[in-house]
Amino acid sequence: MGEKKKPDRTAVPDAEIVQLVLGGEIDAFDELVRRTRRPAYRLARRITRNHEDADDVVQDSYVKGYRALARLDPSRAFGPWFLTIVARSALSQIRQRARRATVPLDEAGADGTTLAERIPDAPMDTAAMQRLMDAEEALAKLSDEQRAVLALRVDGDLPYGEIASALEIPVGTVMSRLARAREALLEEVEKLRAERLRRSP
Amino acid sequence: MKDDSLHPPSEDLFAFRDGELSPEKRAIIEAHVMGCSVCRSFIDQVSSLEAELRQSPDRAPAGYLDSLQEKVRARIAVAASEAAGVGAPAVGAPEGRERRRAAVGLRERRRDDAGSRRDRGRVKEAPVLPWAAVLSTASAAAAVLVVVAILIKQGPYQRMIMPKASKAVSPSAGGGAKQEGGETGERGAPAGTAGNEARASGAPGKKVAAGALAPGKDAGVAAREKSAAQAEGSAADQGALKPNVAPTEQSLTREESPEIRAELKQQPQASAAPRAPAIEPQALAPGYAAVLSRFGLPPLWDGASVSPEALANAEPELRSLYVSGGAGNDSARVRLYLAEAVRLRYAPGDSTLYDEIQRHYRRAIDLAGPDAETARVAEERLRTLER
Repeated sequence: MGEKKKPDRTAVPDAEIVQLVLGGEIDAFDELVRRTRRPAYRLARRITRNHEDADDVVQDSYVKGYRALARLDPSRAFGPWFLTIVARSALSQIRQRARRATVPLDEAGADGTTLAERIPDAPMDTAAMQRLMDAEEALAKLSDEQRAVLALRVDGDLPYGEIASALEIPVGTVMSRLARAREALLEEVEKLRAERLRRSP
Repeated sequence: MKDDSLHPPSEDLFAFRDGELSPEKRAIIEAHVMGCSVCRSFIDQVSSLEAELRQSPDRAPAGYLDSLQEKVRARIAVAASEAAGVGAPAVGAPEGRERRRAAVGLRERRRDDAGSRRDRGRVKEAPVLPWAAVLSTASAAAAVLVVVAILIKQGPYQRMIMPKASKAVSPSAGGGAKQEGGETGERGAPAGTAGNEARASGAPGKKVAAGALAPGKDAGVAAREKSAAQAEGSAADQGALKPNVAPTEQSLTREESPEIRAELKQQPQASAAPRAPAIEPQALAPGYAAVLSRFGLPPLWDGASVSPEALANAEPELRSLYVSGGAGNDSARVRLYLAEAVRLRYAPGDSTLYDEIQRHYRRAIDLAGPDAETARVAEERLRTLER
């Protein structure tokens, strides 16, 4: 059985790839996965807060996305649409298991690494790292709903309409939930910083 | 923090920042923000926090995204093959765990027939194809014939021959026979219809899995294909299973491959002890084998031979093995071990641990693919948990 060379689709627009897949070229879906796997995992991880759930969510989401591909409005981009599926699956996952014990961010995570170890290779001064850790810790303190809406905006970079679709709530609710989430995030960060200042000599 | 009631609501400020306001409203908010340092500062602080979150490192374990791509590829291939029966990609098709369905399609049906309802709330399995039922029935009938022949030859009272009889059937039925034989032996079940169906159905499942490797894959898969071809039974069997081969093409991931290899290797010695581990030690992922060896654990969790202490001690390493992707081919077994490890701490009423255990079992079943024994044990344990 000869190895069939895969066509290079890296320059093909999403919409064309979607059409290829709908036309029966299943392999083309691979390219959509390659383009979206990182943000999808990131979003799922942000919402579920652990690798195993995020892995389950992302895998299931791709299958759901594939099955629902025919319903994708051709005028919509695949990526944001797919992220709404990921968000919905992730929320469903965390609702299923209610509130699960979470791993403090300054200790080893489920993947055995600390946040500090996961900091990108780019040089980062201590203050910047501290700010990042504060932001992460504050985010972790938000409710699941607030974290999800913020993740969709921050990690998914989705417009309000897409977020509303992902969370199955009206756009007005997205606006208010996002505002409350941002306020809460800021408040938590300020508390963390104040606490650190109080502890420092 | 902005708290002056003279300022616009936060919703409007953020919507302005996000470019989500209508032109009229945007003009109003913009006019305010331009002249209000409090609101500007508020928006800036939040923007800065979000920028930090965007910079946050990717937490995917090393190599995870590539392994994800492979897993998804396999699952999409299965979903596609299923959709092909109803028009691909199906609009409104059920969204379920296709990989599990196809890789162990016939075994799944057996479980459904037996009334297993482990996936409460999940979409039901795809309808059973008529040819599969015919195949199962034919295989079951063949098994019965062989049993009868042996009974006639060796006397009517040798009931204990039944498990062996099932193995006698297995070579013509494919690679799953060994494990299924073991299963029967463990349960001490007579070779009734269900048992025969299980053997008959499990076996073609294996054959399908092996046949599904045909299209160009990586070198490991090619080798597997070759050995599968060598180990395969009669050409007639292959022909009979063709219709099942295409739909499950690519349904195997690396997670399943060693089990298949091990079983194919073991086929000639199909009469091995029923409780013998289905996987030879050399077929285990190195990381998994190392953890097993360090803590004296068997390849597959077994309540009788795994001490709680060893399991508790091994849990962190098993967990880290899994999340790092090091479990590779043995992910299902690692998930089963993790379920049991968490179960050590579980007390009825603890919904958090309950969910975690349940998730591990379900994932073990999903990932087991043709590793029928792991799937069976996980299912059994899941049932006891749910009880």
